[in-house]
Amino acid sequence: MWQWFYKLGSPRHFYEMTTGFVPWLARATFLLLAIGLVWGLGFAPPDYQMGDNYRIIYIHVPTASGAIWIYAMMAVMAAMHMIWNIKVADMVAKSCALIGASFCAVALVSGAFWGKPTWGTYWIWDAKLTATLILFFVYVGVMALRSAFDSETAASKAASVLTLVGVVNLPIIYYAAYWWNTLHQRSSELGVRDASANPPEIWIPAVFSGFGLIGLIFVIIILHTRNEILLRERRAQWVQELVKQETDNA
Amino acid sequence: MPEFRFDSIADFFAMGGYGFYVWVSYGFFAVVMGFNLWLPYRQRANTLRLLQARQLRQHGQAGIESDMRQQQDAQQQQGEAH
Repeated sequence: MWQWFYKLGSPRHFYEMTTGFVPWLARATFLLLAIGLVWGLGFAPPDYQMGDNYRIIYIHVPTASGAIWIYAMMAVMAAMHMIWNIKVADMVAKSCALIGASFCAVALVSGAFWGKPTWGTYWIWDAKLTATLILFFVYVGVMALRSAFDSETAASKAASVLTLVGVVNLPIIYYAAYWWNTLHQRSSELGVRDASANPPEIWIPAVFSGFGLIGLIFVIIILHTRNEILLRERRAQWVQELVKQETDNA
Repeated sequence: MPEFRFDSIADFFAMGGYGFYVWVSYGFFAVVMGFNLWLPYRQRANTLRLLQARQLRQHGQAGIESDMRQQQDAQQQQGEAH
């Protein structure tokens, strides 16, 4: 078990282990997403207060919590890179930034288009919304900082430090609705945590779309990391052989 | 078994009057996720092309060097012969 994790730290093993795994993960992801979203859009019962508008929940909640968890993963990878100097950890951290920013953007936009008909406004400087907007800017900042250096080592170090500093924002987003009484409702009131608040016909499709989006996060991060491995390990024998094979096949 | 909650496809797109908000959200979601999936595939093609070009360049170089060595050897042998 530990050996398996240990092996993932080697770029070559990461690449070889994910080659066969990614297509299956992608298939499972699309199946889960298709079931979750079609069910949520067409087959779940309408909400007694918000009508069909609440169907935005099936993308809003998973992308919003995904944006937080992707950041947490990026921070763990940044720490692993800084403490043990694991190359793959830095590559995964780099791959987390764009998908994290994307999840954040979808959460903000879907939230805005949910807020307009229910709260009467697309945007308000509510604690949870503001902290999520800051998370988006931190993601963009990490990407910009990494691309500002010519030296890869300096870029990784700077991005890792900024990533770790940004962690302070995560509990703020997570607990914003509990610490301050502003507009955004607490998640328990939506029945995400407490299943008894909502009937299973409403939360089961959310479980499908939630796991589908978790799969999508890993598919995209793995695909990015594999590209990064090829690029950074380009001098290794196995990459040179692989490139030769790929171009012969093409 | 869950039943379809709308009377018609038009009804489905209308989303009980919230169609604009629901479909803009889902549309934005689809576009952003589609981009995120497309990007690594394009990057992979670009990376492989880049590494292939690099490999060709190196092999070309090595090829030229070995040609030069052979020429020098041949000239030396000629010199010794004369």
